[in-house]
Amino acid sequence: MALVRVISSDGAAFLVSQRLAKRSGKLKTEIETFRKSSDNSEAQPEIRIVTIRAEILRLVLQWLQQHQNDPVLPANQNEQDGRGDAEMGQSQWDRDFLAPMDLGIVMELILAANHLEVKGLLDITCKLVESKITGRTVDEIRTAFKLKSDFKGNEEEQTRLENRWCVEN
Amino acid sequence: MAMSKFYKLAITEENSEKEAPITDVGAVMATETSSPEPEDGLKGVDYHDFPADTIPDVWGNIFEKLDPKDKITFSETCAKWHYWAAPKRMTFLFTEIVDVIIKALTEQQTLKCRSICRSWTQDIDHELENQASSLLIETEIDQDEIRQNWETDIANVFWSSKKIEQFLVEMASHNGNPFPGRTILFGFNIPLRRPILTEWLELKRTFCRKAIELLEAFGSHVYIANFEFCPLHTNSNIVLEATETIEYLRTSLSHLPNLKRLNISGLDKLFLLDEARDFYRNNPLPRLPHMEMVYMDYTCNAVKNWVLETSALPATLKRISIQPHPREVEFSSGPIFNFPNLEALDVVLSIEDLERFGTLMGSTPPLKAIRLKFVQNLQDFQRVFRSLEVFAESLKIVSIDENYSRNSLRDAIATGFSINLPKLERLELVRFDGPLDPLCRLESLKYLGVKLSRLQEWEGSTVNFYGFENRMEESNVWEKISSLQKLSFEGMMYPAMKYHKVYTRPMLSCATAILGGGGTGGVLFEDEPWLD
Repeated sequence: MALVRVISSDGAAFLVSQRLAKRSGKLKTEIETFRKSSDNSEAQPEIRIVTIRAEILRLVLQWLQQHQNDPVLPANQNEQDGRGDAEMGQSQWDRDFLAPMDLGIVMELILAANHLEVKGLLDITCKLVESKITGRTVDEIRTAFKLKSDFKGNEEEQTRLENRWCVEN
Repeated sequence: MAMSKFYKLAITEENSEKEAPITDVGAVMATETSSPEPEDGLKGVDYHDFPADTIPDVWGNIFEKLDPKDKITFSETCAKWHYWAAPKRMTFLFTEIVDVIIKALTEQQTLKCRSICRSWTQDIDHELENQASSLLIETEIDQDEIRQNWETDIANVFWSSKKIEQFLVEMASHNGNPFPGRTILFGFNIPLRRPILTEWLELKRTFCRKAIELLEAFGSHVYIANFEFCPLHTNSNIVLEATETIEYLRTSLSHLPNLKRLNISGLDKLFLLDEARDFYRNNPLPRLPHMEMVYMDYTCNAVKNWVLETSALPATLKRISIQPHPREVEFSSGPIFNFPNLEALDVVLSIEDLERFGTLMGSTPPLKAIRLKFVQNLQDFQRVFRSLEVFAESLKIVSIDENYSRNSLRDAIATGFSINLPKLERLELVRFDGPLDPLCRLESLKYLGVKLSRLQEWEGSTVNFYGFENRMEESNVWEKISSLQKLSFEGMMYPAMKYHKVYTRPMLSCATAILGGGGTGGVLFEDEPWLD
């Protein structure tokens, strides 16, 4: 089985089947570039992902492994049947996968999925962040994201006013 | 030793070697930083032994001063720093994901996020202001990547004098930019009961006066301005009303010095007005040095020329989108030849003008995207695509709405004609029912869309076509156009059924693995745990 060595920013190396790795757009391009530039067709590609640490890279690879036999989602599922990608792609496994993560990890996963071009994972993680915003008050969102209001003077009031004028009424 | 762990991780990130020679690394660092000799009282203190994973207050202070990108690097440098930075992750990570997450949020959610904290407000505003799609023509916007029509989502829209007055009162003490999306739209709302002419003129004059008042106060913050003009009054004195209207536009633009995109819709009857033509000649628009894009719809040719010739700087304007006027179908394309840096064009042209376009100027404009309709119907297929070859080095997106003559399509097959646009990535053909053979040498083509038409099999064609209904995955079109990733058919079937089928490149390698892999094809191994 053809393998590729994927190395995280903090030096952890993961040996992954190329078929699995190619489900990431970024890894696919890197493998193809390696193949074109390498004289030895049997040589094992080594890809350094300098922006993703091991804990996050492992999660991405776990997700890819779980979804290795899924059809590749069209870039925009809505074009076909009006349902969102996240709605289409999210399984019970996905929900269990995301459930124990704090939002900081989810945000790092969004960055990683975006960088590695893993659309399905990007969709479900964005959907999770979106769900923490939808239907909540500003204070509830601050609590969910562990943020404090640091507006000074009347900045918060100004921001609310600005928002009000952006909505057609 | 604390230092050892830090250096060890640093070198591992660089070299991925588990057993990095720690002391050597320390020596290299010392050479690079060339530390001064310690003073007497501090003899014996090893400055190389700087405690990287202690004194959280000091590092916390340094952390606060870092840019968001550096904060991420900081938090990934070692486990302890990551632990310290974790509580603040929501702020600096949001900066990184805002461009991604904003596509998943609705207008209301985006606005709500602006109220959470200062950094979120700044990040969202920065993203809204710099959304590339706001300066693209429709054809350039990849709907897969960018939320459709986002630029009108976060916009300040003013339809009445009363609304402008309220805004001015509320923003009286506002310091700075009150427009999160840097976008503004003015459109005089026609009252339900159409007033008599004098009342109508007074209402319009009040609206224009208020709009200009608003722009005087805040116009310098606006990057994208939309002016929607209502039709003239049925009993109007055209000279008076039209002259007042275009004077309002002229004055408004003088208060928009930082404008990047100008959208004008309306002003369609002014072509009847000889006096207005004199007005244009005698009253050029203010030059807008930052304007990169002009969009005009339902606008008469005199106004189109006025805007392009007097307000746009030839070197700065990059995108022109001009929709055809229902009564003046042919737009004299003369003004578009003045822009040597044009990157995107959306216009109705004659084939002769298209042929002249690439050669008239001293150098060929770096056109990346073009959306065309032709003045004459039933064009010669080869002539159209040959006329685009002058832009072959830059052209990535082409959309053409045209019915080609059947003879020219037959000739294309018979002569083995191939479109020669090696950089072309997206091709949209509207009302096209010809063969796909001329597309087979488009080595960069990723997306092919066919609209308002049904492709059919042509005699002599080598592309197997199974119809849009099914089995296009089996067509040899994927082999013939090896770069093709997506094929889209959109249109109407009799009697009135809309269809939209999208095919993505069949995953041949994946299918093979499922058949023969026995479940091991995707197994993930981890051969080295990360360092502790």
